[in-house]
Amino acid sequence: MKIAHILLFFISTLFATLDAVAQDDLEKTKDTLINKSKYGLRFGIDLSMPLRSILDDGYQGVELMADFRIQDRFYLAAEIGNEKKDYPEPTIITTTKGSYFKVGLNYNAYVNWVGMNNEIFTGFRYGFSNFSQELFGYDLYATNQIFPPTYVTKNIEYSGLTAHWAEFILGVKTEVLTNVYLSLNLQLKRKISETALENFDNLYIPGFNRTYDFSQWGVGYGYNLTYLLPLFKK
Amino acid sequence: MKQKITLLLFTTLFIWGCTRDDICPEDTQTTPLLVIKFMDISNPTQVKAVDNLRITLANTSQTEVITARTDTLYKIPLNPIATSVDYNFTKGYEGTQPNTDAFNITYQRGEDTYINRACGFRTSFTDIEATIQTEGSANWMLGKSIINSSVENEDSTHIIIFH
Repeated sequence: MKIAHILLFFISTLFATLDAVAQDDLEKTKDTLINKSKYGLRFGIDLSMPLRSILDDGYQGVELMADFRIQDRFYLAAEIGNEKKDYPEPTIITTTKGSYFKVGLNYNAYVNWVGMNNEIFTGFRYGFSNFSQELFGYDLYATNQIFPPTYVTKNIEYSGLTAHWAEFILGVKTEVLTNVYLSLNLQLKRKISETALENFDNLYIPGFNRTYDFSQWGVGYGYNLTYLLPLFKK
Repeated sequence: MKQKITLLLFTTLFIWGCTRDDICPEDTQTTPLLVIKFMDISNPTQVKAVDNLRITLANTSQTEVITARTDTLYKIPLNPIATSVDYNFTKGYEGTQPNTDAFNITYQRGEDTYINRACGFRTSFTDIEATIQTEGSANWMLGKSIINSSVENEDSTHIIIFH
């Protein structure tokens, strides 16, 4: 046991010495590699929305996005999109369609290894939507079942509606191929204002997602495929 | 960072999970029922319970609307798609001498009002008129009075029937 400890001591000392020598060598050779990180305009499309358009008959949507690094960790980001969503409940039959844009900043909280360009980011957006809602009809709500439900046909179009909201984003971004990124994000939104409807409500707001009767909050997600046009290297 | 992500995920799921506006709460005022109060013909300020009153639709199948009970206040529905409903009011149901009176209510449908996402729309009724089909001495319902000719809610009586 004692011998083992003594041996260990000597071996360690030996390695420590070698290590120190190696260090000396490194200091002598000058590092010619400069870590340039590429940046530029990154743009792309949301993949989840076209997929949902195929799977869900009552939904159509597309979103394009772009971001640009303005500082080491900050990116100017914007999204633009268009959505159409049916609400086919028996109590209310309605369709909402319209366009939206979101603009804001992303902050990359992830420290990359040399040569890697991944992100764990948070961001804020200001969102604006211009949309219309068409009310086709509804079943009058009755608590008793004595008479069959009365369906009322309406066909009212509420157009020129607008909504503003603030959005908090949390997401991850990975460079899956050179300059090609896949990104997943979750969005927490808070309505700031919306066009109030006479005797109806905005059940869906493009870009904001569905609304809630008793809350100004909303949620959403994104699954983005983007391409980085590397304009600069620094 | 991981904790923050977890927190956000839970918050998101929480908001997603709490969709209480997908179920119409029971206490919501939806399409109102017609409120009928029974009072004493000999003492018109006094409520008087009807013995085992059963209310049915005056259709061929006699759809039961109110199961027989002894009470002073009954709430019955109006059909929004029609402007008239015929009811049969049977007093002393399953007793030795049941007495059925035909009661007709006519009305107009009022404005439809949006409630919320889960409940959708409700309606109201206006211009309530009521007729007790005369059977001479066989009537147990002896008079009526329209207190409120528009049915907006179930908070107050719309029709008083004297017996």
